[in-house]
Amino acid sequence: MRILTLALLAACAPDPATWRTGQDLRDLRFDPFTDDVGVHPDTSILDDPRNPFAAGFDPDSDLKWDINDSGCDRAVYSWATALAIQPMGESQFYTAGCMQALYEGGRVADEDLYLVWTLAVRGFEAVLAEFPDDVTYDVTGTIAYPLAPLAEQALLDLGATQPDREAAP
Amino acid sequence: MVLTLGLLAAPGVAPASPGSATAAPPATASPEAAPRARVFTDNRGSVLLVDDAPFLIKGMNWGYMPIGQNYQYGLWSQDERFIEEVLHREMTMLRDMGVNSIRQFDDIPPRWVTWIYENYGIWTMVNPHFGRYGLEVDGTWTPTTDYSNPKHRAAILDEVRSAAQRFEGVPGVLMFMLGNENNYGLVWTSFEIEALPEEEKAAARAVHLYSLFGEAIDLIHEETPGVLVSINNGDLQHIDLVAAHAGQMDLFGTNVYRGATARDLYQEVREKLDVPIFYGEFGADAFDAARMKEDPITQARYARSQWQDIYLNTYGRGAGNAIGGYQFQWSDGWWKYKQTENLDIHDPTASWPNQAYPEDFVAGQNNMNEEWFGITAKGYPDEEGHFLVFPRPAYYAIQRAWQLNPLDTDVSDDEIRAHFDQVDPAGGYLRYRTETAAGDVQWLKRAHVRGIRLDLSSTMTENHLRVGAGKQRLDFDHTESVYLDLGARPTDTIEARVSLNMLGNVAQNPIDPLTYESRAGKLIATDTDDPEDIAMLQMADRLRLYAAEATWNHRLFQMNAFYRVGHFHWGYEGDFFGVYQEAFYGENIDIYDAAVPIGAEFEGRGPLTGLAVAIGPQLYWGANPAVFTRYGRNIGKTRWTLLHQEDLTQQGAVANNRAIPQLVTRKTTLHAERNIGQFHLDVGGIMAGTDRLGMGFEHVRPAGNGPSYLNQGFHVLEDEIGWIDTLGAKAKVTWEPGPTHMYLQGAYRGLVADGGPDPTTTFTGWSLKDHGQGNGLQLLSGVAIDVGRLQIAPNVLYQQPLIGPNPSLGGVWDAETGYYYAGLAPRNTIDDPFAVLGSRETIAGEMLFVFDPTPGTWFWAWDNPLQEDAPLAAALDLVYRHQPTSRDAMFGFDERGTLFAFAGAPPAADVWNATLTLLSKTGPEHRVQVSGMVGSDQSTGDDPRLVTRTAVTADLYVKTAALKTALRWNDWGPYDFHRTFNLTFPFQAMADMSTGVRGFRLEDTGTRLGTRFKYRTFDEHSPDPLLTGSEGHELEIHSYLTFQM
Repeated sequence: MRILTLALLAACAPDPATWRTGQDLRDLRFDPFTDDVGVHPDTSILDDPRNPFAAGFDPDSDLKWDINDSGCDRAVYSWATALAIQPMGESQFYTAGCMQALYEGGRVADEDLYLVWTLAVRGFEAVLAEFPDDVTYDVTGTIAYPLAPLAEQALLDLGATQPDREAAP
Repeated sequence: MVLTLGLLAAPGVAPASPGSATAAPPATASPEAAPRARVFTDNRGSVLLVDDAPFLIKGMNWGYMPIGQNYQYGLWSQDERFIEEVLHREMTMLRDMGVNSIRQFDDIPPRWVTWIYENYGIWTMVNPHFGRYGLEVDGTWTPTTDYSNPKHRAAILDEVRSAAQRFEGVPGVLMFMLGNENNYGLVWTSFEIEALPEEEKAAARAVHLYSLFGEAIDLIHEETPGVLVSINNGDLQHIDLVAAHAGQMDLFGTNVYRGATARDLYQEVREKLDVPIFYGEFGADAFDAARMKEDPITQARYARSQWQDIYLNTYGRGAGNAIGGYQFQWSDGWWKYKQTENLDIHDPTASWPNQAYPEDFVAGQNNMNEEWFGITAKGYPDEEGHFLVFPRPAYYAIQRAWQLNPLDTDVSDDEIRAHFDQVDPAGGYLRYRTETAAGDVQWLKRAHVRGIRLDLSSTMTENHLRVGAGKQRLDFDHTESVYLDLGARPTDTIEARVSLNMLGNVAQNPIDPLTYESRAGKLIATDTDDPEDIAMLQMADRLRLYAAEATWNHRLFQMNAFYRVGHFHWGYEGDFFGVYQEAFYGENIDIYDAAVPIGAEFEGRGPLTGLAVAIGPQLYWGANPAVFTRYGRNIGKTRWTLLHQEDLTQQGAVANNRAIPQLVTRKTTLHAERNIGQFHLDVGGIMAGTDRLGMGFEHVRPAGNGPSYLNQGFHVLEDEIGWIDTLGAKAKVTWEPGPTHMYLQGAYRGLVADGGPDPTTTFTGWSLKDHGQGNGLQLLSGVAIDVGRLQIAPNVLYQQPLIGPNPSLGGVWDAETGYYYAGLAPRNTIDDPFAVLGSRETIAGEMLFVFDPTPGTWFWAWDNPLQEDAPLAAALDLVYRHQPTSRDAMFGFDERGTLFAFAGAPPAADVWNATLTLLSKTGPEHRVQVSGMVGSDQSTGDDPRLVTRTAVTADLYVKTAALKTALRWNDWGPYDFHRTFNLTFPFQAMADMSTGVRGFRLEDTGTRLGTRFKYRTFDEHSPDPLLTGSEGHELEIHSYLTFQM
């Protein structure tokens, strides 16, 4: 009986909490969690266990620019996270831009290259379709640039004939 | 030849037939007139004499209650003209039937007793209820009478004395009858009674009742000598105690439901009491509970048999002591089952079993249908509350039976039997069916138009940004909206109602644009590119199913299905943790265009009694598609209730309802309650949120002087939900020793052991209540002290979350090391397994003062604004909440209707509130309602600004006219999002003047014509970006005509 009681108590007792510390992201590489990740309105990035920004990320903070400056291996996660939490054209544009950079730089596994290309194309198309009037700002935060022309140019650079993305590179 | 008695030959006494009293009432009567009724008894039996003429009581339990009303309704508080119309219509039918006396509770004004007598020759038996339905003691309404309590006894005797004095010498008073089967309501307890063996408790209580009856009889005899006094007993229960303690009564009244005959009842009364006996109630219902259909012929057959039984026991026959009876009852009581619900449904639910009515008796099931005892069926009321009744066959059978006078000594017993053989119980059936059919043609019960409402309105608006002068500044628009109510009643047990809404033009300029009708205007702003699609959508949305409900009364259950029609909670049926929430949202379901609640409830009957099931896509606002099951039963003296909620899937289409979605979950609760002496004890346990086991969450812990996360002074811990977090417990004890009412409640809830807010009322209208959310310890305690008409009620709350809210902390990227330090955000109820919201750390105190000189109309009843009958009743509520910490995040909807969680929460802040409510009924059709509020409170979003606001509203109703006004300073606007985004107006004013064909109603105000004026000013905290920042204003003049049929 005593063993049973102890077993029951043990079953009820939660595992002890762990202390949060910093994460080393130097070796982080993008690994698409789903086939729609990073394209509005998909939010699967928040469920991706590899995403270090899934919890406690404030899309309004300047942190996303700091991470953006560290390279798209990390920034693709932070932009996609911001997009999922607070859908905006700017987050969609930079998510797609990071996909484009990862594709062009070959910084994802070979078997994911085509998927990342399609995610970049679909991301830029989403800027045009879902956020056609959205803008981004210069470093001073005062001068606005419309995103739609930039997205159209990116689609041309990717070899996608907008809106038909069947033309593979 | 009439009965010849020795006393009738006495000088100065003229023989008179029983009918003579009804045929020629005196034109005037002296208040000092001597009592005219007395009892004569010799060895042949007893007879009632009125003006020295033998008098058989051909009595009726008569009352007037329109469909849709309940016991709160009072005919005698209506205006005089209305009462006269009612009495002329109904007393004519009673007189034509042969009724010579009606039974009335002593709230009937004496002048109406005389009016009925003088105009229709019908006597009134005055009936103080003798504490049967509670009583007022020292200014406090006591729902359960304790006949052993000296204060209760004194209060009852005071009421009896008052009644005796009030009706002394009033022409038309036949006699007094005290109580109404009070022996069935002896439920109080005391240490003295608790100590007795179970079988002796009832008798011990009864001794107190009957000794008080004895005292009251003596009192009336003393106050008004010669007036006849009876008690009303339930059958012959405790008859030996009746004889021992109340044997001085003049007559014995009893409510008897023994079926076709009373068997040996008369003989037993003669042997043990030796006074004449009459029935205070007797009869049969007109519904066959076995076949679930109306059966008026069987009812008539019982009436015939019961009256024959009376006839054969009148003076000189049988036991010789029967003097008549009061038939139960005149018309159906549609309110009787549940008494506050489904008042406009003729409920076929049988509520008690009686084997003496074998036609529809089934062992283990009820067969007495309380709502169907009328010997007339009730028609639907018109706008003023007048309705027709349709005599059932029992009416005609009794009318025919009464044509023979059993007090005529020339009539033999065989002639009586032969006479009753000639009374055909089905004789009036065809006429009844014809008349009810005529009534049905008017109402078209089975498939009918229940009503049409046409709302026509015009709206003129102006604001300070408009250019031009005078009328050029006005913007004008108009709205046409039609509501069509359709009803169907394919059988007596199934009823359905559907309400449709159709739109014409919809005004685009109201300053408060969210209305049910505004849905047709919303589509103009959609992103749809195709104009044809927009046009089609607009057309489709101009015709909507507004609401629907259906009821099915099955032998084994009652089912209520509902769509946008509210339902009650289960808080009083053992839902101790508030799991199944009430769903009455008033105008909010229109404002937010919400399709809630939607689902169905089943309440078991017969062998399924105690079982209830609710199932639906959204049973209350924001609920997931779910099944709720409740089962309760008594085990010994304890009531046990088991409840389970099982969510089936996540709610969809959230944005349409503006409802905050909830995680799919399951909850199970167990509740036990029982009385222990003067204490009532509730104990319960909950297991909830087991589906969240293993879900992760973060929380913080102070780091002291050591290193901390990002040097913030705390560590961040990553944790997950375990079994212990799903468990909770709660206990409550209440104690009501006389005018003091106390309670103490404590609860522990694990992190995800969520229930719901406490929907019940404990003693009075306190604001501080159990929030019901998981994650915390909570203590609540209050005392309500009655001091005369004033109630003083302090109440305190302490609550502490097990794990506090998360602070906002931005993430940090260290480019040099390549390390990322994740941020921390307040939790919310979608992304996290729990959040600190209602459970935030709070120490709160409340002081409530209630002045209610007429506690019979309880101040806190939901419909008290309509029912309150005091010249002035008031409540002042002062609440202070000390909130030393913040909370987690709530949700909002952006301008696209997309749900989002706020990134923060308002800071720790103390808030307070003072609310004054005044209700006044200065005349039958004059009402005033005033309320004032001042206080400070926080946004439900994340804005840190603490709002100190003031509001005053005053509503005046005079007959069918109404004036409603409201003034607000620095208050939020009318919609939820105003508080969510902390949007306030410096000043808001509203005045609404209208007149119609109905007086004051809480809802269904009927046909009305009115004008509403709104004005408000703007500052930097106000919503409209075009106006914000300037000291602007806007106004609206809204004229409306509501035509309702």
